[in-house]
Amino acid sequence: MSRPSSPGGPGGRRERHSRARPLTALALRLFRVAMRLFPRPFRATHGAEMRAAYEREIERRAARAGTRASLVYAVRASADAARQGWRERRRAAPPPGHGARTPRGGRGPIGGGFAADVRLAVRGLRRSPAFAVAGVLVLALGIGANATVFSALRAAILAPAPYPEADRLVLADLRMTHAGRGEERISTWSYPKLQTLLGVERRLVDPAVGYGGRTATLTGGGAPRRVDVELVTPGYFELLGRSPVLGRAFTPDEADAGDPPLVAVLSHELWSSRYGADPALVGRDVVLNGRAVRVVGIAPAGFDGLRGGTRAWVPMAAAGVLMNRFMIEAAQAHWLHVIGRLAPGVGFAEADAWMEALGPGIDEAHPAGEAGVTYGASLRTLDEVRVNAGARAAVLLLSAAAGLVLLVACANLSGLLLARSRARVRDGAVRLAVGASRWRLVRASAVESLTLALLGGAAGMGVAAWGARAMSAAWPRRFLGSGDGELRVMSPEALAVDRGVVLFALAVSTLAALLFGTAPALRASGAQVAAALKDGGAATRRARRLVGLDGRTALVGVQVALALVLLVGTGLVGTSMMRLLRVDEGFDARGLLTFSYALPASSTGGDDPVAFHEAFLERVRALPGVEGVTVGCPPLRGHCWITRVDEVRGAREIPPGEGPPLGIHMVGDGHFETMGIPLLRGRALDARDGRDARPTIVLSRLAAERLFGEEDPIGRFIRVGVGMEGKEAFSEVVGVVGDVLYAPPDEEMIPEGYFSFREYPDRSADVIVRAADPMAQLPGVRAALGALDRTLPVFGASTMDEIVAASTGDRRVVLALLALFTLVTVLLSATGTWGIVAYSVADRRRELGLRIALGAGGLRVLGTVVAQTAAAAGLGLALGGLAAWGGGRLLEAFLYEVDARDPRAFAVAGAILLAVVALAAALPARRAARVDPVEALRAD
Amino acid sequence: MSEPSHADPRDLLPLSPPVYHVLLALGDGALHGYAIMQAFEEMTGGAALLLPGTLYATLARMAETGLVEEVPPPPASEDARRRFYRVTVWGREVAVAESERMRALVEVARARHLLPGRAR
Repeated sequence: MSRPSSPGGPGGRRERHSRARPLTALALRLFRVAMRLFPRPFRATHGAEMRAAYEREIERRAARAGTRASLVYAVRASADAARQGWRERRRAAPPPGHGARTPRGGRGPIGGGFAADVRLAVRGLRRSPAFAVAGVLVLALGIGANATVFSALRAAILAPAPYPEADRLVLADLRMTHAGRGEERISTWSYPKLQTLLGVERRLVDPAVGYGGRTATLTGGGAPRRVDVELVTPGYFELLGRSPVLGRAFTPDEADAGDPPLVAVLSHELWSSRYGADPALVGRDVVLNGRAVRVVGIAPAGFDGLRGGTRAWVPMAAAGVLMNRFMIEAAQAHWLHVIGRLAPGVGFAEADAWMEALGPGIDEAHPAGEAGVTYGASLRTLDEVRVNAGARAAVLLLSAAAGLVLLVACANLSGLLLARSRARVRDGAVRLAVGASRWRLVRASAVESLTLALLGGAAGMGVAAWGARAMSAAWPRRFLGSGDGELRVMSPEALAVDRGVVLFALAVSTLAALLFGTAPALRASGAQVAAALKDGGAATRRARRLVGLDGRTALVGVQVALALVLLVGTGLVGTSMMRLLRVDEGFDARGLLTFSYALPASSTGGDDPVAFHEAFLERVRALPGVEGVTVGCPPLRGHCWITRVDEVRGAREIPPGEGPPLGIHMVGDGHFETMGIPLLRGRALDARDGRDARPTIVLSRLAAERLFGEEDPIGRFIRVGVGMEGKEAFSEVVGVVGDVLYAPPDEEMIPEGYFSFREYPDRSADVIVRAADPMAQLPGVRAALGALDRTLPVFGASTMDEIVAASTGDRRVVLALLALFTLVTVLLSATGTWGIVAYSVADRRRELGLRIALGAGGLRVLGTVVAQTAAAAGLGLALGGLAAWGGGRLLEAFLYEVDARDPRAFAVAGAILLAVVALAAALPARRAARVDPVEALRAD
Repeated sequence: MSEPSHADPRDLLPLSPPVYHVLLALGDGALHGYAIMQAFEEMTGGAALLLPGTLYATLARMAETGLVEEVPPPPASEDARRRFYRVTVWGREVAVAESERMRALVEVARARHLLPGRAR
């Protein structure tokens, strides 16, 4: 009986589509969306025809009565289609226990069901559009802010690791104990120690795999590219449930370091972007660090390794050939992590105890060779490792702030509703008189609140979609990984609005409706019938004494209190940010470009990297616009190398391993000049240094002070924990320079020492170029490097300005959101106060008119009106101040050289709020003073 | 689509307005959905609307209960893909019963001087 229908429609209609003006197109779309509510079988039978009828009617009306008329029709017809579709759907699937429904709603409009209440609510909102729009907007901000922050909360904290049986995954740690220093810290594993662990029979953590990250240069098949590589042991892909989509994972015999397997699994991203997703790549060779490596598999799309950003995986056993043989051979070369799953039926505590018992054996098999140093072993759950303290603090703070925004929004709305209900007390009394129960009135009011809240929630999803996108773009890189940075915790794309966020927003909307709707609902039922019918004003006043005015004015206090909490917080974080930005980094960050390159052992420059670097620096120096070039660890990103001072010649002996820490830098000639680091004493490093057997060193001001106090360090000798082949152990101090922030500014500064890069040949180089327009130098730099070796990529290029910005990035995001939330709450408090005072003035026109008629001065009348508001605001300030005082702990992670209870922040925030509220109250209150007594008496 | 001849048409009364409107619009002819919409608008002089969602949902339900039935399109039809409907015998009985019910009400209204007219 049913005929095949063609949803696309005949060609004729399509033509009309293309001619349709935008509004008509919108009308068509609206109807199509509404039609989706019909069950699928119904649409299959009647859909095409229904739509065709609608379209013809739209066109006919547009031609006859204009676009506006056709749009009115479109809205009505679409609403009708949605309603009918919904009914049809319910008919198609009657709920269990219910028979087929009667064709029509059943109960009459007076007894009225829930649907009637909703209709009533929608009609009520449509009758006062200004109120409805204001309410929806206020709620959209409140709910949107919460949904946005929730998406971050979920991505950064709540989301479980995306691996099978993730709750049984554990990280195995080595724990290094230094008896002399009383120090204990978590360490990575070395390859030989991992082999010892894997050699244990009947492990309680099984399977267990090792992983560690390095970068490598990929050549052939396009421009050379520096890629992140994970070195893993066989079983890695199986453990994480990410079997290659093409080819295979690594086999157990590819764990043999004696016969290094030069094979690789490539990421889906790399395979697609560089090799055009060619399936034939599997089985062919690519060139990694100058060695031919056979591609054996392609990882699933979206998987980028435990560390994130991984583009290729190679068996760990190949590290000795592809990277550095010490990575495989040296038992004290700790560079890899071990992850595994608890063996079936084994609990965490049991496995942890087993692991700890294993520690001494591993240590005995590979003694540390340094006095007092021993290694033990233990487990951490993956969930424990995944916590990023910074992200956690930020998200918790923002959650609290967003919660405050919602509370203010609710208080604001509650005020609006109460003011509005003044006009409706009479309406309610009428309905009570014709027999509606009080419960019905409460329910009607509750339904109205819920309708408003859901509309606000829907609009809030728009706010959240925008907010999540903005946050995803600004989310600090530091927040993506685990605390030690060795585990990717989340990707910024996880900050998005999906079903979970929508459900959350729905719950928040309902909660909001409860919060702001309760007082008005009670109010709606509290009216005295006879009195209200006789005189609306009198009933209003009586009701006001019950909950109204006191409650309404109290709402001013609530809003002020909440706004103050946020304002104080923003003030404190803002002050911290300003202090951080004012911190002297110790060098001139403007006009600097930094990038890196690395020479594979097999490359032309690999044998004599110093000569290669010198040749390269010479070429870059010759580029037009380049004012200086050097190599060295770029500031503000954390140290590249930290060791300790072992001995100061002529000073008292330092016990082994107890010298002060020293950041080590291998820098180019003219480094300090290029970086803009001031030379304080002695001389800078230049072409003389690093050429003979006696090393020379330049100390930072802090290093000179710690090591030599008041004495002149120039010409003195120190021995540091850096082994330089063919050099004397002692280095001569030749100069002292200013302190530079190598770690982010909120971390403690340590002493620094600078050697010439010639002292310690290193195949990789971090290059820093000074130029007026640093990024513009990049093509020239690439060409200069390519001219020396065209297989070398330039990687990690960024300007120092970007690095400076990133070093305060987490605070920046927190501050921006906090400031936005605060602005919203302060504005809401202001409009809320304004509205409440305005209503109060309108309410008391008659009384005020009388007073003026009896000779009261304008100012006095104004005072009467404002007094209560001022009292409420004052109380709000006091309570808000207390709350901010108590809640300062949440802020501590984001403060820098500011006390969470800095009285100045409280004073300034209080003053700002007081001014805003006073202004908001004064504008409507002025009207009170200008009430015309005669007119006021005539009114009502 | 068998018509339950044993049933009393009055069991279905009062009809919902869309059902009655469709019965009126169809009359004795066979029309497709859009034509029903137009016919209804003509009949009421545009005072009331039969919107497509309501119309097609109503038609489906009426076909289910046997008030209308689908017929093959007439040979001269401009669009053979459309479904044509006509009122069944049962549908006609129901329409007559509803009209009788309404007439009785109108008589009462006249008697109460709510409407001008002969009856008194």
